[in-house]
Amino acid sequence: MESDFQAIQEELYARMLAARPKEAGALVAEFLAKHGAEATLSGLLAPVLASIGERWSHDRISLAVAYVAGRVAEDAIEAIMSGVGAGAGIGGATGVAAGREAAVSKVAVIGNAKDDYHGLGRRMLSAFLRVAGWKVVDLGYDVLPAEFVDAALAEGARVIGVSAMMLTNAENIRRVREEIERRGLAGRLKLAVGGAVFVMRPELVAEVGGDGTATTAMGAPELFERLAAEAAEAEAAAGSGGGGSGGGAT
Amino acid sequence: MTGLERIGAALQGQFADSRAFTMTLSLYGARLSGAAPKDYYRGSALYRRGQAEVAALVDPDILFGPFVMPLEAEAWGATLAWTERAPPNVGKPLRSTSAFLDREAPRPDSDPRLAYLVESVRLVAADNAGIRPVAAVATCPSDLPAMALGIDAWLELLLFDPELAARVLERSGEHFRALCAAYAAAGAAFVAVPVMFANPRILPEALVRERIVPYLAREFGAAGLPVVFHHGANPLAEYLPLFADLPGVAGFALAERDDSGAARAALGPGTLLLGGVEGPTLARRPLARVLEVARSALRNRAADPRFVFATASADVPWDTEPATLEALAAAARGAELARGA
Repeated sequence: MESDFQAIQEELYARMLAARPKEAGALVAEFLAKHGAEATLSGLLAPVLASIGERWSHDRISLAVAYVAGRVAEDAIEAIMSGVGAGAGIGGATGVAAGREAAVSKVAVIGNAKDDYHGLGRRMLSAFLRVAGWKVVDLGYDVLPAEFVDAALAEGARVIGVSAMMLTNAENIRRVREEIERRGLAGRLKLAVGGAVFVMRPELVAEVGGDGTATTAMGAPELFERLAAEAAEAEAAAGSGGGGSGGGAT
Repeated sequence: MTGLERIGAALQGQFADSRAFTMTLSLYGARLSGAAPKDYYRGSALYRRGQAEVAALVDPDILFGPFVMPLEAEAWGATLAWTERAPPNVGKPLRSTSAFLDREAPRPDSDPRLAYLVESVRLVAADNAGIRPVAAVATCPSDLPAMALGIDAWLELLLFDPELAARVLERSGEHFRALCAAYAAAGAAFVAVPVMFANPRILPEALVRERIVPYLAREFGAAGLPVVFHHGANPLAEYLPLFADLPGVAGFALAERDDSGAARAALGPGTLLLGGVEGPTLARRPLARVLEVARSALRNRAADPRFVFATASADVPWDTEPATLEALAAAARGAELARGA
């Protein structure tokens, strides 16, 4: 975490590690007002979340700390999108947010598998994808396979992320894979899967037709980047033109 | 010696004729008796029959009441998801805190889910009176909100609204005490309590120390029967200094990856330790590997009279071969005890 903002990064990191969400959020809000959206996202949140992610990957932070980190990041993004900090620092917040949206060819549709009502992983996934610059279309709990694919087509997403906690609900992800195949989108629309059951049984990823998984929400942006790149390559190889806002599956 | 005598000896710090052992074979009774989980976890007579089959297969020194904590969440309004070869899980949590706080607390004597749990314990305890103790299983009062409301909803409350979280915990504690009282009246010798939301792998250690441990001290101290603090799905040994002085706790059940020597050092010689080999992986690992882990655990505690060999983590899966369980039982029974070491 070396930058001009190192001291404040370290303070935010400490507040997140102590799972003090209000204090962490206040620090981010103050920083946003002073330095603007771009600096908040890339100069503060991104490096701090990377450090949290590093510790998480080694089982050295609690689930609650990871949750706080995601929640604080999500609140900051909401504030940026609603124009808080506009005019401060490098560009106004709304301008940065709009710029990010426009520049993004990274659109993800996420949701819980059919019959799944355990949203912790999905909510954390949404936060970390958004900090990494993704537009996230979150369909919430208990999402039907066709709803995932419809939303991906409407939004031009190249990646669908489906979360399931239990084996029974993970089995429902097969139907999402089948829906992708049925519409002729195989290769061009990728399927990321996640949730506790995939951590315990990694072989299940392939069994339900997943293209990949990440063991933590903080590892998800890297996975989604890779899958989106593969989808783009497949589309280019197929010679089909882009479409939708992100040039995703059409 | 009977299981009752072996466990009694372990509690008193004396060696018995062989190492006391148990396995979490709550679900396995359904397989042995040919019952579908949906019937088995609704009918206490079926549960009794299943546990009789378990006793006949491996003759453990402790039998368990139903290891099906989602039934408690169901009693509070959550919806269950059932499968053919596993206990049910919480399919749809309540999500709404007010739905938890405003509803009438389910009573162990009238709510069908709780009554099933208590009656199953009563029947199994009656069948095993004078032979082996029966451990009831209860959801930890600091975990019930996560199970009933959903993990994200509970984390949100705990971290962002401590006052409301305290009200939820208060109700959860009332539930825990009422269920433990009913278990005690039904003949349970102790209550095994898997603990997730007090583990520093889940919550920050400072929060656990400042808010959860004092709460558990109050609830476990009022349980009315001895508590066995079960590791849940997380490592426990390194965090035992946080929990070592909790009142009402007779023993700690460790994870397979825990260092039992470190656990003993943290607790001192007077507390019961349970541990050995992970239950949920018994169906997937080669028997030779299972026995290697088991024998290593038994060797490490050979000089420890207050050690009970046990399967760790959740219930033993349906697909586990009976021969695996018989081999584990034989390993425990045949383990050398370093008397006088």
